[in-house]
Amino acid sequence: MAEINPAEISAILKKQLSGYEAKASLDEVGTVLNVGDGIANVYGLANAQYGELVEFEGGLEGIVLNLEEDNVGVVLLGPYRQVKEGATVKRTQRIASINVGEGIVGRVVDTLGAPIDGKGPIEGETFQMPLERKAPGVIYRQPVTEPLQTGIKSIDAMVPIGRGQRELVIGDRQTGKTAVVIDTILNQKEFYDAGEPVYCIYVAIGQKASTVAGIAKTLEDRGALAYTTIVAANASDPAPMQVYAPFAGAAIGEYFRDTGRPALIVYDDLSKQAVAYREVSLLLRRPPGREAYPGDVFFLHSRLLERAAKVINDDEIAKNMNDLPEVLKDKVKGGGSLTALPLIETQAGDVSAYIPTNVISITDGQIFLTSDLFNSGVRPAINVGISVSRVGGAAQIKAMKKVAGTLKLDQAQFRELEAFAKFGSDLDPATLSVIEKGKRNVEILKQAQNDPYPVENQIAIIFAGSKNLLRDVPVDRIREFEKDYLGYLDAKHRDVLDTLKAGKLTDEVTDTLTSVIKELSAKYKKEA
Amino acid sequence: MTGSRAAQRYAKAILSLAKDRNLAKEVNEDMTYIAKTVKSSSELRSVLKSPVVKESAKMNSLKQIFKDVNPITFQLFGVLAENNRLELLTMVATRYNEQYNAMMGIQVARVTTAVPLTPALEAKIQAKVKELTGNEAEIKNTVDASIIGGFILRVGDLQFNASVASQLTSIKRELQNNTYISKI
Repeated sequence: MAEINPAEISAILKKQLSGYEAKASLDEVGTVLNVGDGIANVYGLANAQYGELVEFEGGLEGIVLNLEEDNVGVVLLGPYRQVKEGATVKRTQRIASINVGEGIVGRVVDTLGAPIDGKGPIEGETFQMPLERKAPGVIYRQPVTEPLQTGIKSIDAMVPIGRGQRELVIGDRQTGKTAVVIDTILNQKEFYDAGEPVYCIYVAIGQKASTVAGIAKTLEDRGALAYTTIVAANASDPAPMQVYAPFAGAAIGEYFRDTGRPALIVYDDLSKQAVAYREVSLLLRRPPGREAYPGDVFFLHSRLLERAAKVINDDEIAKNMNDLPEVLKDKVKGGGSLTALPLIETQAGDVSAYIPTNVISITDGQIFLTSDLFNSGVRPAINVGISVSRVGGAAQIKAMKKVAGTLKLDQAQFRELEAFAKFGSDLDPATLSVIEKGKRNVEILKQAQNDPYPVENQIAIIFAGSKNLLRDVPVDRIREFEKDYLGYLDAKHRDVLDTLKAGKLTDEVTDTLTSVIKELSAKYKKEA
Repeated sequence: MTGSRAAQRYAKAILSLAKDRNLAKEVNEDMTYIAKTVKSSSELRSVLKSPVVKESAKMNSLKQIFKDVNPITFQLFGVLAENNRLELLTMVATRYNEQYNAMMGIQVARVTTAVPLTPALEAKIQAKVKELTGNEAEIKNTVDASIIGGFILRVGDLQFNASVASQLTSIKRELQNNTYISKI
């Protein structure tokens, strides 16, 4: 830090103090009856509203969550050791909200929007966005049509995600769920560089601070922090902070969505949020239900995920959207979107537990990651057989749709026949060919971490696999071939890739691709 | 909080009974007396609270201590004892006071000052109360040197904080919140 001379310091202090008005305040107050486990019961506060922020002596804030006959239950958003029985609690007349502006991009903030990355305050104009807000109604939405490119071959080809969709990423621990979503964020760099950024929000709930720091570093190193905001409620933060973190992230996403821009939000992960919510609910003495979760845990997730939407591409209609915060009214534009990628961690592959079934039923499809695949070296470990996207082909560019159309079916067939092949018995040539093709496709769909593929490259390589043009390349050399092939195309046939990127798959393009593949694969055959 | 709802209901019931018999004011005095006595005696408090002491024993000691209260108040002891709720007694008493005040339109303004109030200041505060709530109030003064100067006025759920201490803390917070001197 630069040296500051004493004269400057006193000048600053003077400036601050001169702006300070010594005024007495008139507040509505209550008295703390008891406090413990992060919950305070407050007598009085007769006019307090549900979800309102209240302030304790010493500046600690809390959220009103229980309104009873003569007292209110408040969850505390910080260390509560300083709160004593008999202390006064002030109403703030503010509903829990977060300050969002253009300056929040590239920052790491906590649930209440306070920066925790040590880079100073959020700069520029900010708008107060409420944490709890109703999702846009039916008439303010439109069907999902544009793709959200994840850069992961198996997802973009077989479980396409559209802008405004909600796609669940589900799997056991250590199956690469976070890797999938981080890759997706990294892949948006292409759009950022092109001047049409997809704003990303990564919400870390109940994770180790070191993990969050690691993710922030990865994003920064890859230049992805320039369009990403991280909302972190770490494992050491109080449970209410973890419960509200996804809502804070959604509020940030809504700022971009309602100002007509695409945004992507990742909730990592909602099982931990549900656990934090269970903790808060039990402490508030709400009756436990299945797996001790409170009765409204479904609503907790459904109202959160409903806020992901594709807003209608009509400024006039969008301006009348329900539940718009006053401050945002004159800035509203149509055509924005908020895509949500919630993560759920299952225990030993049990998707029939309470929270996984809830979230599966809320979302528009799911991406299953299984530890079997992960351990057998298929990474990303996406089980394409049970992964679906209910938006599907509408969210794919034409060229990809044509190339990948049969891929899912091929792989399903392959998996069925693969079981036979394990017996080592003699197989007829047709079966053998299906198996050989399937094995190559599995290889093609493998991908390293932090290495998202541009869509044109994906189409080019999947074309090779699905047209069965790789018969001559040995299975263990497919990855090598892929590298050669894509490098060659990039160097010699950039125009073909550009056509593919534009979504066109002309005969000319297929001819070029076919001849290139034949030429290169011949080389592999000779060497083999 | 445990029992606070129950206390509210006992207080409501006894108030309506007292009102029917035109004894609301007398019972109010009893309740103030009870609250004050229990507050001043830690032994009585622990006896009332203790789950080990039988309700009948608690009842007997209450009869001895509060000899000359109204029969209605006496009946309250009986009902509370029967329902194993004697520990709620003080809470019922304070709730009764509050409900009685609300019924009669009596406001109590609690004023915390660093030095005792003079009559002239009290008149000023009375004016302030009238400005804030539209009604006059009975002023109760507590002296607390830790607020340094000024006063804290509290009427029901409203608090008017004009103390020097609170202004100092808000200045302190203002300065503390600005950790980012790198922007100078």
